[in-house]
Amino acid sequence: MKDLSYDVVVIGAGNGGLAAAATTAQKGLKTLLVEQHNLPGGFASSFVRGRFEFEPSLHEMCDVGVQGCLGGAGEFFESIGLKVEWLRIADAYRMVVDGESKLDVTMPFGTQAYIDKMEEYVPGSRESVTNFFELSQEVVDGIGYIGKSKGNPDKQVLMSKYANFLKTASYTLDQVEKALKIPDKACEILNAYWCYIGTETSRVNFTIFAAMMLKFIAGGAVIPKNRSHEISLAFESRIREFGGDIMYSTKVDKILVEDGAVAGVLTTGGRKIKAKHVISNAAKHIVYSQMLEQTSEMSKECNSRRIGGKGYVAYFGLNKTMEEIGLTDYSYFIYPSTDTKKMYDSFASRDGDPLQAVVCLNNVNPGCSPEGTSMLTITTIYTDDAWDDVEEKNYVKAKNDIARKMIARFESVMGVSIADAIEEFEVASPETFARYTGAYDGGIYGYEPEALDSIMPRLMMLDDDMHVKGLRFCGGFAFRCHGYASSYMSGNTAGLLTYRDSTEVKS
Amino acid sequence: MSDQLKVNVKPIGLLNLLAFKKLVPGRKKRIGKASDEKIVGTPPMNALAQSMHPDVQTFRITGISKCPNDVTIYELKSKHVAYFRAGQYLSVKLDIGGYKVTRPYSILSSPKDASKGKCALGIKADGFVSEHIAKTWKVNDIITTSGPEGTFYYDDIRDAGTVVGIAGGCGIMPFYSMAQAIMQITEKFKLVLLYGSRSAEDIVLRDELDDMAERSCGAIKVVHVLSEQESEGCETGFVTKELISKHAGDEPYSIFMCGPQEMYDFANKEIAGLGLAKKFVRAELYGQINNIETYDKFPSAEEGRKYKMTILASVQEL
Ligand SMILES: Cc1cc2nc3c(=O)[nH]c(=O)nc-3n(C[C@H](O)[C@H](O)[C@H](O)COP(=O)(O)OP(=O)(O)OC[C@H]3O[C@@H](n4cnc5c(N)ncnc54)[C@H](O)[C@@H]3O)c2cc1C
Repeated sequence: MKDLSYDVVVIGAGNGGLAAAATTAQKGLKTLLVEQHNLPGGFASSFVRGRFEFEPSLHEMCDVGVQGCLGGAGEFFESIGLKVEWLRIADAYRMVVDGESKLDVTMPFGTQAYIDKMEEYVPGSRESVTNFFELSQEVVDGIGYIGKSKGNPDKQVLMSKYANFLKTASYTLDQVEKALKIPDKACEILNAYWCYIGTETSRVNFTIFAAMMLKFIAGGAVIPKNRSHEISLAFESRIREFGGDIMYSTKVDKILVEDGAVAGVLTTGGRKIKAKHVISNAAKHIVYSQMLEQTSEMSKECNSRRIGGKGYVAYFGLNKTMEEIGLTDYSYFIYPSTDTKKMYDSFASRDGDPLQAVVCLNNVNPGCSPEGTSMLTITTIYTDDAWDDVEEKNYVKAKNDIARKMIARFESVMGVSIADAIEEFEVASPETFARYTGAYDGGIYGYEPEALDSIMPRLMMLDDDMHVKGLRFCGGFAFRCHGYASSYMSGNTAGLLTYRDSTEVKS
Repeated sequence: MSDQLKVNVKPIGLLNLLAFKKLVPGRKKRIGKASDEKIVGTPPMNALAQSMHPDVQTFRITGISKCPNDVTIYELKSKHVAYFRAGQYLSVKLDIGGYKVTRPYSILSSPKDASKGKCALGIKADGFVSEHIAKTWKVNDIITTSGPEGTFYYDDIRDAGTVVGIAGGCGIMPFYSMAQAIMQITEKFKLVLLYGSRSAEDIVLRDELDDMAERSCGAIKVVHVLSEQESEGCETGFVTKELISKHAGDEPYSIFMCGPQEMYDFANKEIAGLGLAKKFVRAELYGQINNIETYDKFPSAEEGRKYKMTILASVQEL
């Protein structure tokens, strides 16, 4: 076997890795993308059961925008000529809380429409909720400014234009909502997306939540017509067209380090690939514990962070249409409570009644399944050792018990019946995510974005965190935190920074 | 963004601007205070994934027994056999004269056996790979396979309480595994097996199946359907809709099929007359179709056409 040599090796073809490889290849760096699976995308994929093709992960993607008014991710996609057919989602979400505090609200996209609707549900909320969005806009602009300044912002500009962004950056969502004097009930409705981040509102950092919220509500959300696999395939072709190479079914075992700097990688097959730059889509926990010599700085960094939620999704192929079943919305949040701390704590066990994020794909993408059928997926989150007692032998029972509980709950809350219409059924558990993407302990939500480990401190400490020269990270565990748009954007940034590193090395 | 707000937020007096400056020192302090214990080992979910879905399983052949109809049963042992769902298969990995090939074979042993490190495959010698196996595999040989694969298994969230299994020839294997699982109470459903063979002499695992049915307190019913022979206690002909209705019982049922394509072609026409919803009919993909050009939807212009395929050298081969 001949040694290969590249300018940059990207480990993993998840969203982050695909974006990173597309970026470096477009910049003219000799790029190799190495993926252990035989498909690109990581979580962004699709799978078939019977006559249904399921979306494994994506509920909705923000930051894409529309022609003429693109979001950040939309601009990046355009800059690399990515071809994807997007479908827009009509309403933001329907939130049904069925517990001590009952709630049933449907919230629209569009900031003004959202504020108006909120005023209808919570009279007197208009001013404070308007301030929330105004502030969120400042947060997004502030992050954008820091990004454009390549980490060297003009302090005067920051202080004068983005003072509120700076002021709120170290606080939690609860603290800022309180400061803005948003009525409790409006907070409960506003916090619905908390399950996309998975850290309760008393701990989650305001900046990351505000940025997500603004991107969803102001910019709207989209899905690709042919499942997220379509995005992954579009990236794959662009990478190849830019001259990048892709190796599938190849796992990187080791990152080779010489004199404190990256020298290349070693694959499971024993092939050595030389490169001065490596971008890892695999999490730091994996890289530091398995792929290179772990220093105490690395251990400390990992030990200081909390791994985010592990995924659980039940997928149903139904032999009835959504109309027959009586579900008209795309996205439902079925919460047992409005207390996010309570819900977060319940993630640590499989016993309780899990919150549900339900997607009815046909209601945005009518042709996604054969005539007379529809697809429905229910997602929830687990943490810590919630699944650690599960062994091979009780695995099916463990995953099906949850699905049964979810169906019963959903049916009773929504007053519909789906159990008798289930033609195909599959579950992705934390084990499944670990199996297909190597996700660390089944974690799908990166590191928890608490105030001290959220996007801003991570961004400002990118250099401090670089423990091996030439090694950068992208994806859901990287500095932008998790989510589709964030992981693509982190790949783009890691690619651009690597390009800059490479020019510094050469000059 | 189209609907940007024109409102100006008043400075939020309560929150401290200096706090921003504390983010980096705060994070540094947090890292500084963290333990320097090394992150080691495989986390539980990745470990579970590895034991349930190993890339490769290595077995020693511990027994070989010949059955009717060119079927041979291979008993296998391994330190760890990945647990599976009755009805799943293993892909056997072989190197035949330099050609790397894999072939799927349903597991006929029970999941419970797997937890004891045992496994068994029943293979009919009727093709390039299976004939090679019949000729070369000996007791004590080491063979390699994939982890368990496939979705041809029972699931009460989706299937009816009774499964009418239609098996043809070697297609009995997944049902044999299910029957044992029912006996061992690792699966809970009623199995009515309509098992087609040419003649009584051709029936594979007949005694074992009949014995399980007898001891199952009604959970398992086995009906032998002989196409070329009349025989006491057996049905004659093919599996027709009348035969299905006669034996299925009064409860709602799912039909599971496993056998050669000709069996599916016949059975599908019969099943169409039963008015079952599609969700109650499943078939395992079993073997290839040898006369694809005779099928309705085959584009006739393609018949006999040859294709040239160029394999771009993968980077791995450079
Ligand atoms: C169920 C679910 C629902 C979600 N819903 C949404 C949503 O609605 N909206 C949203 O914005 N986000 C959502 N997310 C989050 C989003 O999917 C992730 O944040 C994002 O996909 C993470 O991408 P990543 O770049 O970290 O890559 P991953 O998907 O983690 O991919 C990593 C890749 O690297 C490969 N790899 C790892 N190690 C190696 C190695 N050593 N050698 C070679 N290859 C390796 C893996 O095989 C994999 O392909 C959801 C996630 C899940 C699981």
